[in-house]
Amino acid sequence: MNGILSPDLCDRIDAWLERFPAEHRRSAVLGALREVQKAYGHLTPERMDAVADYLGLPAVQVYEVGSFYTGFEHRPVGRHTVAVCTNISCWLRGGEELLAHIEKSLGVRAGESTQDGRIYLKSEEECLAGCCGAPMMQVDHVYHENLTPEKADKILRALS
Amino acid sequence: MSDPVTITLDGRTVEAATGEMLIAVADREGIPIPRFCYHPKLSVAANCRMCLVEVSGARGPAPACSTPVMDGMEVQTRSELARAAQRATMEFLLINHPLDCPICDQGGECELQDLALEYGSDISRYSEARRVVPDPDLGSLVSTDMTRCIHCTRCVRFTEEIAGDQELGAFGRGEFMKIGTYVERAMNSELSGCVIDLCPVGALNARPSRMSARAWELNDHPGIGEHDGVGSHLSRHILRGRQIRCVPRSEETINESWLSDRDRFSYQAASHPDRLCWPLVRHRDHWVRVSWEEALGSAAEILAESGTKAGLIHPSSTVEECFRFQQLLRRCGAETVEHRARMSDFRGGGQYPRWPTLGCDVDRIAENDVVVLMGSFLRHDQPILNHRLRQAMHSGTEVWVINPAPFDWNFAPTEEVILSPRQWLTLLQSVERAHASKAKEAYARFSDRLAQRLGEADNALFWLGPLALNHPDASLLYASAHNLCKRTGTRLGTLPEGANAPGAWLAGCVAHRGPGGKAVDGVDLPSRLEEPPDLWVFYGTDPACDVSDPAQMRQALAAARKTVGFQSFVPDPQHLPYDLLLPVPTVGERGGHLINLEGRWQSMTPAVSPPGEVRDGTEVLVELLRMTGHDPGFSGVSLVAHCRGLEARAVVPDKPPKDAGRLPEKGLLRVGSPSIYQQDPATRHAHALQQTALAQDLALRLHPETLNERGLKDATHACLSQNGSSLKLPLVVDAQVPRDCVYLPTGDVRLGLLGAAFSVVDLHDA
Repeated sequence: MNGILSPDLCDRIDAWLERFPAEHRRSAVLGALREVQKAYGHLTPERMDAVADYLGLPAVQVYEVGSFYTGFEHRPVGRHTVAVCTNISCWLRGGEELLAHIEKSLGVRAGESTQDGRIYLKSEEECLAGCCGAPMMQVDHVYHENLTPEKADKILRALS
Repeated sequence: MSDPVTITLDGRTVEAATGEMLIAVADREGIPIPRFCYHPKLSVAANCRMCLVEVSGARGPAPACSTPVMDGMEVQTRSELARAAQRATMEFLLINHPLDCPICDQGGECELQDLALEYGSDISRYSEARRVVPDPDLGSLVSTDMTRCIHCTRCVRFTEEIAGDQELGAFGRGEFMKIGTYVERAMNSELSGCVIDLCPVGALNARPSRMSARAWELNDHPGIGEHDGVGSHLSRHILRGRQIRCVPRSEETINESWLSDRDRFSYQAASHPDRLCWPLVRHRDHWVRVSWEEALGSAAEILAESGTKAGLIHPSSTVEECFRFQQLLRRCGAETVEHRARMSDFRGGGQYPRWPTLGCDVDRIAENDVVVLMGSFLRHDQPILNHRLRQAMHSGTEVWVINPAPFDWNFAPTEEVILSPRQWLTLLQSVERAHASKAKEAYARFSDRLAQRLGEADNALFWLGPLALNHPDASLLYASAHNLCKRTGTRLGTLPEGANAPGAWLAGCVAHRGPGGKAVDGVDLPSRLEEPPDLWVFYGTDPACDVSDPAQMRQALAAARKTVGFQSFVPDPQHLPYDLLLPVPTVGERGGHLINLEGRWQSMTPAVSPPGEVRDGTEVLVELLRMTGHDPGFSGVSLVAHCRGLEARAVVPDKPPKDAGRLPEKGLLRVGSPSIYQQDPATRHAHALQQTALAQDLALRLHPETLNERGLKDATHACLSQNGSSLKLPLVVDAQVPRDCVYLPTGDVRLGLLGAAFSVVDLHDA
């Protein structure tokens, strides 16, 4: 498998395949791409080709999924992904100001990664369904709620 | 479909089948519903929302393409609610669609333009930025203007569901969704041109005819595909006497609404710069233009003076051309009249039926339980048949393949065995033995399994493709397949090249058979090549590319006293020693009948007049008959009646040959048949087709061990030598190719004088 999918990655993709009926290998595309992104940080056409090969699908079907979800990155980004919600509840509770503060303290704009490769600040994030704890942000799939600029700084400083 | 239901459609009471979609019922009833994404041959996507209609009791408008009928359903397609929904959808679709109809090729035949006239508003309320989408390069056949795309995804579904190789996809989402290939690459499908017809806007258009005509200036001339054995129905679009483009004409029993790229774009050959427009005679190494009078006089003289004569006609020539060709040559004493120039085994000619057939109608392939395909890359040989076979496979037909090399199928054959042609005969014999033997416990081997399936199946079909028909032991393969089929109740079909192979048989362009299959004394082609005649006559067949062994043919031409060609393209005078060239029409310019492999007679008339002084070939042949003192016998109409009469009379005895195999037992065997765009002179002169990867790629495919044994491990190129001629070619390593074979497509002018396929070759360092 041209060196892209390690045995460990293949095992994890197999685990996704097991969740679906054998003839529905296409169902595992999303899971497989997540595993590849977890391993490499971002997707490339070659990595998606490897997934297509492994699942026995036309490459185009994997590109379609990979390009549809904003959760997939197609260029190198920072190690930790930070998404600040600016949708209605968070916006009413200061989400935009929070994002502006984080941009200033990290020295990057939304959609960019810090120069040390530590943090990737996602561009626009839609509602993450944490309205009761607005304003909130998501750091590597963990929710942090009822944020203030200070709390946010502390959380971000703690990231390695 | 189960019980019928009754629905009310715009106040009309209508019967429909359970599960049918509203739009299909409305189409049948002639009630117009606007649509973009819906297409009766593709899956339902329901993403354009243009077909919204009002269904009583539903909470809002419903898409007619994805709403199944239910008993008692009341549907309004033009109510206030439905019209408002349709108008709103149109407004959304037009937000990003550019107003470039005046410079758009689709203008005047555009589904969006037509529907916008009825459902669009006079003025746009949208004043924000519009999207602009970069245009991917999809190759030489399909042009792109993706800003015009409305994301109906018909093209995407076509490549997935019909072409069988999903080359197009929808990437990104919402406002940023784009149709394309993601990683830029040309489309490679043999049916890619169909996305042009499917695109309801001007996003995908025909690249060869881009910006060359407006739809309303074109005359539509019905025609027949002139390159494969099905004879697809098509329309040639003509502007001021010139073929501008070609589109499919719907024919459910043959090509449905599809068309192969070969049939669609071959019209370009008619305007090729090398077109032969005037009679030419050769003066040493250059051509001199002469008048028809002079040319015909000279031709008649050559015919009268020459002793032994041989004539080769292309199997895409019409029935009329074939009949007149053999009539002229035989009356003038020719011993050899043949259309199977790529065939090498002419033994046991008596065993063949009166003409080749598929053994099955094109639209009934899916009724077979099993189809066995031996020696054909069907996608390239017969694109529409391949589509039918693929559809059949999806409805449960098993497809078993026996080929000399792996092939890029667009379906997964039930079983595929890659076998050296040296073993084909043995395989067929062992299938027959396995069928006859009573012990049927262990079906370990392919031959046993195939014997079992053929024995069990109620409806089975066995196809011999060009690689089997052009095999040096073709007659034995045929005899063996014939026996096997007889024992197992399987129908046997063949897939010869050309658009009119059955017509060529019927008209008598076969060495030992005259019109109607009547036995005649003749000399077959291999003997003729050994002992060259005084005169060679070629009609459409190119002696450099359309023959089994171009090297041997070259020698045979040099040894002959004279060579006359009825051709459409000017050959290089240094390479082909024609003494006289008579210009005849090519694709779209010919009139006459073609008989497809079902035995179906199809007639066509010239869509345009040929250029220069090109004259109808049949007329020229008749004139030559008169000039050489022979009575042509029939007029045009009665000739067809005569040939149709022959059809009924032809009876041929069954006489398989008993000779031994003729393939060399040792050595590296070169195997191949013409690739998709090298099958006849017209496709070789169609510019856009020649620019595709399918035409350009010419490589040796072989097993890695074959390379290792010759010390060529890791080599990218190698020299192939055969008969003292050698050629440097790129290598494609494929562990599935048999170790004693190297696959190289034929029919390609780049192969030069390499000699015949199925011969032993040598491979060494480039």
